[in-house]
Amino acid sequence: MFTKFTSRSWITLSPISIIRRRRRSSRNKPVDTSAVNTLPTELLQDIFQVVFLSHEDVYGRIPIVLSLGQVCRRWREIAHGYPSLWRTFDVTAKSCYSRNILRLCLENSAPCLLDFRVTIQHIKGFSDIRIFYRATGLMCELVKHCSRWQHTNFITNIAYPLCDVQPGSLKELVSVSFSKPKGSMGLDIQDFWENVCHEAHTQLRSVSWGRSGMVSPPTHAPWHQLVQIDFGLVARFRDVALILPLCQSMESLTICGIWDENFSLDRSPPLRIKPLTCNTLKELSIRGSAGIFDISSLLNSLIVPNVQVVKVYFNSESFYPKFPSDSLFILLSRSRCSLRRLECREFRKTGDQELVARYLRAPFCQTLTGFHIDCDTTPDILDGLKNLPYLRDVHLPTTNPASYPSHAQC
Amino acid sequence: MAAPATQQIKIRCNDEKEFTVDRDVLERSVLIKNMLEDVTEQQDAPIPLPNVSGPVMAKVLEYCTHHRGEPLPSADTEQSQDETRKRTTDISEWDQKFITVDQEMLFEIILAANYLDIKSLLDVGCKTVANMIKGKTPEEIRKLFNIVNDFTPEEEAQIKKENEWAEDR
Repeated sequence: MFTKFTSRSWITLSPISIIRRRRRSSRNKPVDTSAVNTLPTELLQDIFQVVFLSHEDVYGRIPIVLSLGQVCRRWREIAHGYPSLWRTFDVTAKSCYSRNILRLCLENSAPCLLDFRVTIQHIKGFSDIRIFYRATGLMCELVKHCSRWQHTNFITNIAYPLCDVQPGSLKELVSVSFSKPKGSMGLDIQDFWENVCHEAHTQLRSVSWGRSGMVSPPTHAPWHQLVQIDFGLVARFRDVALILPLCQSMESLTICGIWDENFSLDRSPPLRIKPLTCNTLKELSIRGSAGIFDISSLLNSLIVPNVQVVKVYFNSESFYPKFPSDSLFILLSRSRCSLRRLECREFRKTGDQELVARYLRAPFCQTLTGFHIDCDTTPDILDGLKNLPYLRDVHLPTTNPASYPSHAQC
Repeated sequence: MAAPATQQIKIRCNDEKEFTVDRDVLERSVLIKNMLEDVTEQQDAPIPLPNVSGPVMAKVLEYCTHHRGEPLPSADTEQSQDETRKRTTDISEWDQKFITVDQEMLFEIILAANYLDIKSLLDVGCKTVANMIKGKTPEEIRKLFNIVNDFTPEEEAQIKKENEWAEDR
């Protein structure tokens, strides 16, 4: 092989014999005269990337790359030789071909870091044994490349292959999130978490225990460098209360109440939480499904002066106590924060609308530019919105548009 | 007070076609901007642009004139904006009308924008081609761009497999 320097890059020239052979074999084929193929490789790569990135489902872009690679040889070489098109993918165990696709992604994406989502349905028992083996195989394949994991999202109740992740191999990991499929029991990922969190991380910024069903956050974690923390359903508020003072870089916090009598802050032995000012916190999400006494205790101890976005998931089933609106109201008032966005989701009780109207009248809501509510509104809520001078982006799904505030875009 | 007269610059394309253009319009091209900055004395000789033809340059100048005065992306912001920029295939109304040309001209404009280093025009071109590709099957793309299917039998077999994989997902 010979090489030659062109204005663009070094190219490899094939020996004459290979060129002659190629010419002989291409003699019978029609010549490609398409204008698009006059573009240099890097511009076609750019175009492929635009097509790829414009697909909304971040993890569902691999079929697009496969399709681009089926147009002609040149496009195939470009698509398959462009690692960044293969580094973001979805892993499912639906098909017997899932492993082939995964291998293709892992092979073509090297040496790029990997962003992926593992979505494996709830495996109930012996009848799902094939899916179980397939899913296990996929997880093992992924674990082989764990040194390249960057953003990971696991929705699965098969976690044991993760035990093969060697300590020290997750150096590039930036975010990790776990959820369990609907209907399944919790994941046994405590060992994996302890392993992840014991490492000397330089990259880890975001963790989400979501609905993994894990009982408690890991005892050791690089709390000081985490920017985004979702304690999700795993949180015992006793643990959260102990951990929060360590989270000095936290910009986004999600907490969710679970019914957990044994670990309730308000039950014996009572835990005294020291007052804590979270200056870095900008976004606060609270799911108030149950165990709200715990959340109240936690909220009563906080001051969040710089919080700008509040997301409230009411989700209050009839047999649980109401969402801790008083505690949250007092927290936001006491903190003297100026909210930019308020989102109220998952209403179940009619009384929740009154709480929202009360929030909209409060000083901390006077700077709102965005508001989202996903249930029927009341005249009180609409009146509250009309009085907000900076409101631009409003989402009121079921209200008569005529009653929207005139200055807001709905 | 009268506004200072804008300096006029001459350029010559590969078909000998010459244009005399305001400096600020031409400076939308990073290539020409750098050339002009390197030349300290005023020169009357036209700047040769051996990779661009007259008709294509006329289109490029139409774009640069419309967008004159808009801030050029700085080297620092360029990289950070790159990803965000590529995520959307939205094109402004004027740009869309401007780029509604036949395929040959479209690809000539993209090549010229790349050569002249006019990032925003290159974006418009790439997004236009991306919009043409989006949602189409390989066969439809071949037909659209007149691309020859030049796969070997082995590659065809591999493609058939990939289709099975993708369809079964």
